[in-house]
Amino acid sequence: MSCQLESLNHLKSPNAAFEGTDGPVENAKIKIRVRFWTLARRVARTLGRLPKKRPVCGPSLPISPGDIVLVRSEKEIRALLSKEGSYKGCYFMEEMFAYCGKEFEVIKEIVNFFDEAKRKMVRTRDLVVLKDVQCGGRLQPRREKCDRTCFFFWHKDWLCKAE
Amino acid sequence: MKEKGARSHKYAAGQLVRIKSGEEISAGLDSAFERDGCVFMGPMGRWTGQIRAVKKLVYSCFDEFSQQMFRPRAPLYILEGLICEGDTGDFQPRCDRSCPLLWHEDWLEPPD
Repeated sequence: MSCQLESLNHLKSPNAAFEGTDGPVENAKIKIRVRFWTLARRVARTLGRLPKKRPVCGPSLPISPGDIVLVRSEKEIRALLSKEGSYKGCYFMEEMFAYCGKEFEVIKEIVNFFDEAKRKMVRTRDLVVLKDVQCGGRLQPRREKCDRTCFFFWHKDWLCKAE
Repeated sequence: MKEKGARSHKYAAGQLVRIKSGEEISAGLDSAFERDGCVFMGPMGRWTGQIRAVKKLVYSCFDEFSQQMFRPRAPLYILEGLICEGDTGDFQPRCDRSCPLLWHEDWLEPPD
């Protein structure tokens, strides 16, 4: 017996892919765009054009399940993100900005997770999931919405402990 | 609600449903513990017989491996409060992703 993520492929109907939204050309464009910005950022860092970004509130806070945390402001979080919108490998989706400035309960710390893209378990650190903070499925530039309702991954540096 | 999947969904968001018994669900699974490609994971058995609210109707899913959106072969649901605890037995160590579980419509029934 396997995990639902592992066998997601079995769920697909014969004409499962949406025409025009996720074709090979569109996927290739997305991959090229991501690779371009990754490379551009690496070059800029090497040349010293981009400052090394550090969290304003200091190093990773000791945040545990059950803690109430405050999501830092959009401005603070944007300052931490790379041009691709990620921080230390964790992507911050546009939809997540709606939660800035609000308080939530930490339900779990992500130590290991099944990386669907790589089809393997990976170990990570400083990531948590927050209660009732789930993806609404808007995946730009795709038109169709995803209904999987996954929990967002939050890097601890995007959060502050609520007083 | 507009039908987008292969079949229309019988239950609506917010509606209460009962998860069928383990025996009833098992009878409809293939040798891979799947129905229409949807796996019934062992730990999901702890909620059989319980009444839960439908949180969301699943019309489309994004597959991170193929980077494609797809439509499931059968009506699927996400039920309120039921997330994967990562204890499928397959994964060592356990997965902390906390995915909302997918429930096949045939595993659900009206509460009375």
